[in-house]
Amino acid sequence: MEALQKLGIDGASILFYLVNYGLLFFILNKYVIRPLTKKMDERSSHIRNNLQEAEQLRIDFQAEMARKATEAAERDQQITAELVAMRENAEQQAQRLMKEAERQREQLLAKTNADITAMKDRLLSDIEQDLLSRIERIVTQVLDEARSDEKTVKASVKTAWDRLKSSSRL
Amino acid sequence: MISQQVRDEIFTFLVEDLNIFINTVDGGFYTSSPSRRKAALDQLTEKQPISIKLCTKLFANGHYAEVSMRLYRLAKAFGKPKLLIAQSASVLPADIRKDFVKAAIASYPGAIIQLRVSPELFGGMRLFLDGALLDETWNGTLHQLMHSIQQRLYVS
Repeated sequence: MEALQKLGIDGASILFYLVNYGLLFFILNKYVIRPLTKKMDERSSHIRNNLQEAEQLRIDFQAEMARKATEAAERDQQITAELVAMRENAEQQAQRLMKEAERQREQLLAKTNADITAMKDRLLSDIEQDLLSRIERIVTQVLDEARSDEKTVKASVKTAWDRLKSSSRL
Repeated sequence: MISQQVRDEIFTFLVEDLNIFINTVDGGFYTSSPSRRKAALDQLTEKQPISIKLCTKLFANGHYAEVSMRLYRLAKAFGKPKLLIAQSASVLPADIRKDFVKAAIASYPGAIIQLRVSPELFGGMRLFLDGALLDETWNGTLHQLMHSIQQRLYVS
């Protein structure tokens, strides 16, 4: 005790200090620490909420992005499939049209060939008939002139008989 | 009613004697008077029975074509004669006519011969021998030529 007194510390001082400290603690606790702690807690809570919101937003954004990407991929796939189907359809249409055109071309060609052949035959037939009638007319004219010569006709009858009498039927 | 023997006699006379006579007699026969013709026919049937003499009276008039046709019809009444026709562009000379009649009678016994003149044949002659045709006329040759040309044109 004496040692404490030598150091200037006594009971009253200690009590005073204790009361003083207690009072200071009370005041600080009531008006500084608690509001500050509360403020800090609020701030911390606010920040935590913000962080959670940000995290939620990030997750939502990622989910949205994934959904969008999936949709885009599906859309791309669908478009690709539609394009393929359209191309196949167009190719089929083109092939069908080409086949039809080829068939019509062949029909037209065959008809044209038949028409040309018929026309050629008709022309040839006409020419032949004309040629034959001309030959017949010329020969008939020559024979008519020869007929006026009685000697020639008599000679022809004799020649004909010479040929006929050697026939096996006579 | 005429017996078959008489019919055969008449048919034989018609297709042989009278047939040859009609086709080989001189052309003057057909232009002569009926009495001369009758005399010539009487001479032909001098040794023939009365039935044949009666038949020959049918040939006392008419030109060659009529007489020839009459002969064929009469022969058909007594048998089944074949018909041989010689068609020529001009009148057949007597020698050819005789040769033809001789050859025809030899090859086709019992056939009636008819000679016809057809100027439309232009020249030559042709024979219709019981359905067969032997054509040596200019007209026939022309038609054969035309047919041949037509066939060649058709084939080519």
